[in-house]
Amino acid sequence: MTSCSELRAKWDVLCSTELDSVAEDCSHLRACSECQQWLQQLRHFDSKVSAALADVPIPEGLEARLLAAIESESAAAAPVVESPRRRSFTGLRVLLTLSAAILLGLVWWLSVPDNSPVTFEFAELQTRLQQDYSQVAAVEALPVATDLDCATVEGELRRLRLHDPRGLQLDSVAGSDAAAYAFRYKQWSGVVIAIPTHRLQNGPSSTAPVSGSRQRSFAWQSRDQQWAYVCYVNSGPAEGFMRSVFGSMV
Amino acid sequence: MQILHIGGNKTGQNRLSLTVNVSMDTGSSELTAASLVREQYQAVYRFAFRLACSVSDAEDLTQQTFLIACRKLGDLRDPGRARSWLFSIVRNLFLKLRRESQNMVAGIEQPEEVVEDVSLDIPVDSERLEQALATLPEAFRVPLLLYYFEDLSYKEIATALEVPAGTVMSRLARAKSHLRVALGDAEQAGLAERN
Repeated sequence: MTSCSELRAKWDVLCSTELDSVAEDCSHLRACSECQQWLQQLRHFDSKVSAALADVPIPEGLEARLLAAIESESAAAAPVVESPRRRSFTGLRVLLTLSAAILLGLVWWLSVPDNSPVTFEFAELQTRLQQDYSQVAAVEALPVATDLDCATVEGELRRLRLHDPRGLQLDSVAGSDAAAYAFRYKQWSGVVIAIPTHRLQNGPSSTAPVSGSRQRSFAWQSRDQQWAYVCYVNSGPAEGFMRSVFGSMV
Repeated sequence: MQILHIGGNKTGQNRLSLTVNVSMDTGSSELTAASLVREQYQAVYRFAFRLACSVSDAEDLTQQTFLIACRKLGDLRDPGRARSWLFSIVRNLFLKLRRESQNMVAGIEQPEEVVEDVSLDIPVDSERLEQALATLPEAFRVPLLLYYFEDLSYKEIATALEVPAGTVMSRLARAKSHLRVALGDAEQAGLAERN
């Protein structure tokens, strides 16, 4: 039989224990008016402590300082994201600009009016994306996040917590005709890029993800063959990610 | 939706010159972030103050919490859980800073063993509570605050602090006992002073 002192000594532990194992203690509590009163006092004490803990004066102007800090960070994050690699190649860019100027006449000479949609060699696009991977990956680090309407994303991609969509403008024509999404799934995170297949030459032909040369990127096409997906895994083991998300597809 | 511009020079070879510019359209998120601050900053600051026991540290913690929260606003699926989400950021931030500066568990001063039969009918005010908390080692104060402020279960506290559930039970029992004794002593001292 549990005594009053035993019950009170282990009450905190009892609160976190499955009820089945505390039946004896509960029966004591039901039968003992003193312990019932003690429990009431304990609850009252806890509520007084909770109330007193919340009784903290707020520093004057805190709200304004917090709002200013947020606004300041938003403003700092707003400009163009430029990778360190790009900055370090300023000299190279100057050289390329000069080269481009020399070639300009040649390009002008070669240019022929053409209104057909621009298409891109998929392997080349993927390579360029990988070369500028730090910038693509920067999508994930940006502070703005908007939930993605997953209605257009098929199958396994629905499992990923896709967010923070960015339009990908493939050429100089206005409009977003592809999209990049940051994702988080269990211990993995990265970027998924969806490109309409009609903008690609030699796009991925398989609906199962195929590993790229970096081993941290995968490409596949949607089952309706309308979209090519390129997935970059920034953190977590890439192969494990694909197995976990796509299971038997890999 | 933000725009990543991939500019392609359309030549016969379709060679690409890739520039990825990220333009931010932060209008809507600023509104959400601002409303989050307005609605929750007091609760967040109070929790931060009780953890850090310092006005300046609490303000730093609060600011860092909201900066992180604004970056991860997309993680908040249910606005109704904003407070507990923010509290978890405060708590993780505080623990991270503490772990970086010292080992919180190693070499902690132990409060006295659990004392039974302490009167629970004692007044609890903020000043006395602050004094009682200040004498409580951090390894005991943090689970106590998680229990009272966040209303976490023992298992949840154990997960948050990365310690076994048994350790949480033991520390909480001692911390509560310490609190009751310290508040009771303060009451006795106050009575003696008045007499």
